[in-house]
Amino acid sequence: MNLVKSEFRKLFYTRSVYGLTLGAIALAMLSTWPAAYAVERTQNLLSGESLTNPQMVAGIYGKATSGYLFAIILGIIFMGNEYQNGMAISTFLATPKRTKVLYAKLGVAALAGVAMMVISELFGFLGAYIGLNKYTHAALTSGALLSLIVAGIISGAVLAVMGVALGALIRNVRIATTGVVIWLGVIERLIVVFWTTGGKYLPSGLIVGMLNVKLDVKSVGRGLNIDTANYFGATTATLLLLAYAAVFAFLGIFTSLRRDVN
Amino acid sequence: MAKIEFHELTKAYKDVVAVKGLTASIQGGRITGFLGPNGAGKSTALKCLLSLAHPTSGSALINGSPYEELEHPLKSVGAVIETGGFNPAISGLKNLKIIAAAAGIPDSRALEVLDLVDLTEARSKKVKHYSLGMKQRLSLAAALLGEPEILVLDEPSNGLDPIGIAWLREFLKKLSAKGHTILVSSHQLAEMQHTVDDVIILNKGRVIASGSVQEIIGDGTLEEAFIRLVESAA
Repeated sequence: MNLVKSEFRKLFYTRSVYGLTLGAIALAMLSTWPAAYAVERTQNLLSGESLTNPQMVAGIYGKATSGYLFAIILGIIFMGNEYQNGMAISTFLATPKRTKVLYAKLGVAALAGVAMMVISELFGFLGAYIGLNKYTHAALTSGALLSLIVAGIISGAVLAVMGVALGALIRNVRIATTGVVIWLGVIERLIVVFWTTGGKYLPSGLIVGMLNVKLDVKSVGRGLNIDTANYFGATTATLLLLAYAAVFAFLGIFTSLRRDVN
Repeated sequence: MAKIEFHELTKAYKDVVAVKGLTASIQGGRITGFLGPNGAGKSTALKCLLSLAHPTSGSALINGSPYEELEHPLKSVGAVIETGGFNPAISGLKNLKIIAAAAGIPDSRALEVLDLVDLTEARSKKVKHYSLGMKQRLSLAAALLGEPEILVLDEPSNGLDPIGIAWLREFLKKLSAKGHTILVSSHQLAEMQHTVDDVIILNKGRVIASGSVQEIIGDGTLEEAFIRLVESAA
């Protein structure tokens, strides 16, 4: 418990954590609020899909999970700061059994990732609600809402754990963060949209699977074809995402155990 | 009395051997100077002693155990390794509270040790605004958190002004008088001559001399003896 308390203090004393949470909130709201208008106004381009389809409404609410990018950055900063500022020296002098430190750090990061995702998701839902409010025919089922909340919680925990592992592996916060933003924010999203066969195995693709939203959208004349039936189902996607967390956690612990602290 | 022992300690980084078969014993209740030119392997040996670096072979033990196997590490050994080790974006007090929490030490002790090293007024200042000397004092404060019997200090006088150096000398002597075992590395040989009881001199990863200060310096100074020994070992 002492270590968990110490790790929580590191977290609460780090100002960038609050900034990241605000960033996640902003991204979630900006992803959901305008989406309602966009869907309604472009339905002629989207093979007729409109807000009368509950799955389309769930898809808009599902964009509230967009903040997961900030959860992985949180993990990177949480671990990378240890090495970048030399804090790892005092950390490992206080607790030379490094495995214990890593378990505590992974656990606290996972909880922080969950908290960040729950908060940003709530704001994202609010954005979706505001955006959809004037469309009286747009409704979200309670089952879909539950799936979205569960997806947000799991993705927050898993991405934060992956961030801690990346922080341990790369150690340079700036390089790791830039790499993750480019990968998750651009490359992976393109892969997930345009190459579903491979994209469904990537974290973003698995998060799409966890949302459990069933859509088949073809953009007229633009070559875009989003069929969520190509993604894994919620259970398989959840298990695969947890496997990502386990593999990354192992790599983070293994690296930290073997490395000399300089 | 607490005791520190190095047994045939070797640490290699790829092609560079930083410490070669270091064997030495530090007696309890005394101040021992750990001396050597740059690159002699002092910091590497101390990091191996504190389980921050993994020895290639041999061992470094504190009261017969590796540091990582001590039941209460911070309550047994206090260490100053470089001036880093702190989050520069938060205050000295918050940094100490983080370390204290990890070791199960009450927060009130953080204020006590800040007072011991004359940093009470700067306790709420961010570490990035500390001078080098203040960071050294903060490192000492962190080392003292657990009221340890042993202190391992790597270049603790770096960045200290003459008043700070004199303060450190008196501080270490007071601790030694209370029975603490202190292993301290430094380049300030004149200062070390007045501070330590014993010395271990390293060159290129090996021990080239060890003994009491009087045995090593004879009628001269520690600086003269050091230069003579290092040159003859080269």
